[in-house]
Amino acid sequence: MKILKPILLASALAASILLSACGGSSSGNGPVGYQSVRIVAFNDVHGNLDPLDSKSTSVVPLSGVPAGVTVNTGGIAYMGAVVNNLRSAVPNSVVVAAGDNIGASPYTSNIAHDEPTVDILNQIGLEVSSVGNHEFDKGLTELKRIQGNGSGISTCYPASGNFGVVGVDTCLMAGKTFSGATWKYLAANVVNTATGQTIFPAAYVKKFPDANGVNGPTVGFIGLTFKDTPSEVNPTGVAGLTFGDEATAINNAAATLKSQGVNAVVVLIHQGGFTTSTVYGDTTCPGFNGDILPILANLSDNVDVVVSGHTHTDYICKKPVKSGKLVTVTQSGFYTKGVTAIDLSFDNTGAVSAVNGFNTPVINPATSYSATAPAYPNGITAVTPVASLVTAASNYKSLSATAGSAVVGYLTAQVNIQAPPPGCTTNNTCDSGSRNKTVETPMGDLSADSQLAAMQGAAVAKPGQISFIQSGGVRTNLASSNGAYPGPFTYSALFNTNPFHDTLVAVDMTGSQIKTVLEQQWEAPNNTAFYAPNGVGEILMPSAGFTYTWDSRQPAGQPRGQGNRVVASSMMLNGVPIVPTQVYRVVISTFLAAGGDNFPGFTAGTNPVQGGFDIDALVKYFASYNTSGTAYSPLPANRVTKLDQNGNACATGTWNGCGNP
Amino acid sequence: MVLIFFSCLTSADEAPKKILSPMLALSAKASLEGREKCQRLMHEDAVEFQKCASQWIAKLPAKTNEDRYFKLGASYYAWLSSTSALKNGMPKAEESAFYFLRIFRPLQKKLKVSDQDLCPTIEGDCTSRVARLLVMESELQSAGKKTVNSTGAVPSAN
Repeated sequence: MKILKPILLASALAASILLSACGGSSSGNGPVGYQSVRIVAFNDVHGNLDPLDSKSTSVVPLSGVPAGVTVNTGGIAYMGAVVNNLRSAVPNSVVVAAGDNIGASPYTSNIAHDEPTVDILNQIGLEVSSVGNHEFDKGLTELKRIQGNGSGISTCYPASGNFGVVGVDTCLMAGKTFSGATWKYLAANVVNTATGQTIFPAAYVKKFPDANGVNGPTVGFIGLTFKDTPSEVNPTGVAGLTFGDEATAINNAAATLKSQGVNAVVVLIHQGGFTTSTVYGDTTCPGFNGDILPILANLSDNVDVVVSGHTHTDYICKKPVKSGKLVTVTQSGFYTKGVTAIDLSFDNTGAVSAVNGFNTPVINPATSYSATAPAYPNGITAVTPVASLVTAASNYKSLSATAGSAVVGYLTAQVNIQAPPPGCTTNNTCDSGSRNKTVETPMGDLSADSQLAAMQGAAVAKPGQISFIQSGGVRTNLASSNGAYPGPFTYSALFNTNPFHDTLVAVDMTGSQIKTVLEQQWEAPNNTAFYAPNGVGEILMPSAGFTYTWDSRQPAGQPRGQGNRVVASSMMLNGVPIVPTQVYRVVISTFLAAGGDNFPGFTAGTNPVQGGFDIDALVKYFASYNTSGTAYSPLPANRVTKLDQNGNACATGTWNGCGNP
Repeated sequence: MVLIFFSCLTSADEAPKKILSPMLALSAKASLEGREKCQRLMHEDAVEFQKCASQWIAKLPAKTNEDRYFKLGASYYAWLSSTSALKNGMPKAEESAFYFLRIFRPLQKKLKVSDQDLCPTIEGDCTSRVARLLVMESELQSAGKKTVNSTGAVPSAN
């Protein structure tokens, strides 16, 4: 018993973090053989390493301040510190994740194929994780490389084009290696269609020691992602895979685990819900809703805890499974902004007797690892980051800057967006003075061409025919890195032209629907949302082959659906008139597909199939222009024709002084 | 070490449901409809959610009192969903929350519905929610802050 005492103290201390304010039963009071286990969980890290990789604040609770307090949150070195704090308070713990550890990552992790994130999560001690939809962004082969083969043998990103350079964008660990994740990916519902086998194990079992360091409780973990993952990732990334029903996969694996004698079953699932709480750390779960509910409703009694993700929020819920048994359902937030702790207690038969969960925000003292700490109210204290993780994150940031200097292609001349004309003030109407969004530009045309090319080819079941990109999606000129032409340009320069990291999607639209969208360029509210003194509207730039004319004699600012600036008979695809009733395959960003930038007409698109990221499309496009001798020449931006007040075509590049705005 | 006092909120699931007036029941119905239409779009940022909710709300009629209570519930839900996302630092959630605050708050006052009566139309802790609402309203009233553009258009993400 003399060994037990400090363990019980440790457990009581851990429990007091939750109980000091809320009351309730203590965890960790079981006999020696079944002392409590703490599960430390997070989800949807998405390669966020730096505190400024995403919006850097959260609203956290503070006694006496019912509205909560806004503080800086996130940063993987800070998250690592919170994980350490939660683990050090108890004798038995395990670190788990609910998917999307990688994928859709900010620049630092993205350019190095998420190896920085893998390295740092290894250091944090992540032990087991479900796959999420974004784990499939680059396909199964790449995901297997990320997982590693367990032998510690280094596998670098395969050399291709400007990527796969050891020590530059891959194999960045010590000794220029990449040995993969030390955590185990689980995929209970993801099956290789050809073999019928899951691509990763369905479950993982961890046996914890008792106070004497021998037989303690055994916890089984089941990992999976949501069934509809194929609808949200690049089709090539999930080719040959079948995503099965979530509840069926969980129940099958849970039954197996129980038959093997595990004491508790914990599900790690990349699917989640939402609540209506307005302060981080809520444990009352108001208004819980979302796609995880029907999954929960079909789970068996074998499940004790569900660690969820995907919906990028936080909650601690108790929800019924099929029999009515209440299970704890958690989510920690996203982008390293929070961590969940779930304390499992066991009775003297080894059965789960209590489950208590709480979320801890990752409060950082500043918006960068080196900035000065703000003054927080009494009662809120920022965490001190793990020094070794700060070093690692900073090193990877430096490496990414170097990798960003890699040459992607060559240009014969600078590819331009259109700068605002003189007199355009630096306010919202001129888009901070950086762009004129009312005219077709060579950089926009290039972007549209790359997006169309990315959704064509033999691997695409329904190849794209027309692509559009809004002028707001194209941010800056593309110039050679040495100022000479023909001259090379870098990955970072290309990234800055299309920095939104939007996913592409192909949809079916009729010719009539395409015209509706084109009219929305000048209809309210786009007619005044962005304008220059001599221009009106926000322009959609089409890919090569699609041409049309618009008539500036017709009024701008018409109510939605009543614009009449597009000359219907002028709409052509490769010289053939667009037929109003014919269906065309249109490639756009998911941002536009959702009606972004006041183009709701795109929401009419049907049969969506997602592709890869816009920046990847650009890089791929320049594979044909990657030497001085094959340098890309900017195109004249003459796919769209503007008619002046006399009905004559304005010369390319002179829209601002021609006809009505 | 993070030192946070986690207040114990009353569970809406456990608390007795407040009986809503027939008009506020319409508001509650609107919130559920909005949730069904748009909640899933609150994901990488609040942009798509805001587009979805704003387009839906813009199409709602406002001729009758019933219409107005429905629209109040719809816009109140959209504000709350955005504010809930804001607690997690969801990009663009703040802009979305202020956008819908500017829609529902005048309507609420026109209909003379108190915060205490409106709050129970959507499950949750009314103490923290109303307090957050008042904080945001105060910020909105601060000169030059949190404005949408002069056309009333949805601010652009790009």
